[in-house]
Amino acid sequence: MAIDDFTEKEIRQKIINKLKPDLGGKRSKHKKGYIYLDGILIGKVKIPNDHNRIMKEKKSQYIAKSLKLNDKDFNDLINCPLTGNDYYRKFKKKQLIH
Amino acid sequence: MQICALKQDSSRSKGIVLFHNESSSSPKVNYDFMRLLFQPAIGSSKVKLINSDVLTSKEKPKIKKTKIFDVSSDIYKLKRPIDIRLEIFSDEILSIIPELELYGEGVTEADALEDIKAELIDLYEYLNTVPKEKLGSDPKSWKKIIDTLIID
Repeated sequence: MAIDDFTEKEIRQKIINKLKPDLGGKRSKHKKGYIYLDGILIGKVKIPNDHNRIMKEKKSQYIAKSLKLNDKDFNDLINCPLTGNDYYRKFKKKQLIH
Repeated sequence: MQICALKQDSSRSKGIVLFHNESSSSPKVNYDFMRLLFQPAIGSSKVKLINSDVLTSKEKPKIKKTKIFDVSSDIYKLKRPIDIRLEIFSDEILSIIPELELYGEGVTEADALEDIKAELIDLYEYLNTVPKEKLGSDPKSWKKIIDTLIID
């Protein structure tokens, strides 16, 4: 399974709206989203800019990896079936397994 | 010679990018001729020709390794040089520090390296604002690594 073609804007909106990360990053060109689960910082993700350009698959893969999502779950996150709550539930489950 | 797409790259204000298709059925593009041909139409803008065959989201980058020796900052210094992996695409370069899951990007190698330095400082500063007991396992290991790299 590969990551689908998404625009940078779509990825940005879905990460911000669904995962509601703590936004930071004042030095680089991109905002960063810091992801908390139960008050604990569990990850970070680079937030793409608000462009309508198709995101390179390689960059989408880096974002998916930051979010600890496989290709299918990343596609689901951006395409919609995966909600923010589903994401955090999955993350919790993975933590229990490892 | 056939140009499949000609457009101004919206991501760059400095130049115009001509996207052309160089499929086996088309005659080989003479880049110098193309530049001469389009230069009058676009005035003093810089012209860059990119083969649209390679401009897909699935493009495979060329890989190169380099190091950074500073973080371009008056406040922070590096304790040691950091290895950077460069992924070179036809229109963009990514600069990556795999162990910190960080990447920068830019149109040129210099841009990409400046961006990864800024990413590094952003992460360092953010991790310093989070109490130790609030760091999950990955952030804890990033903090451990980044503290061996940067001094204030």
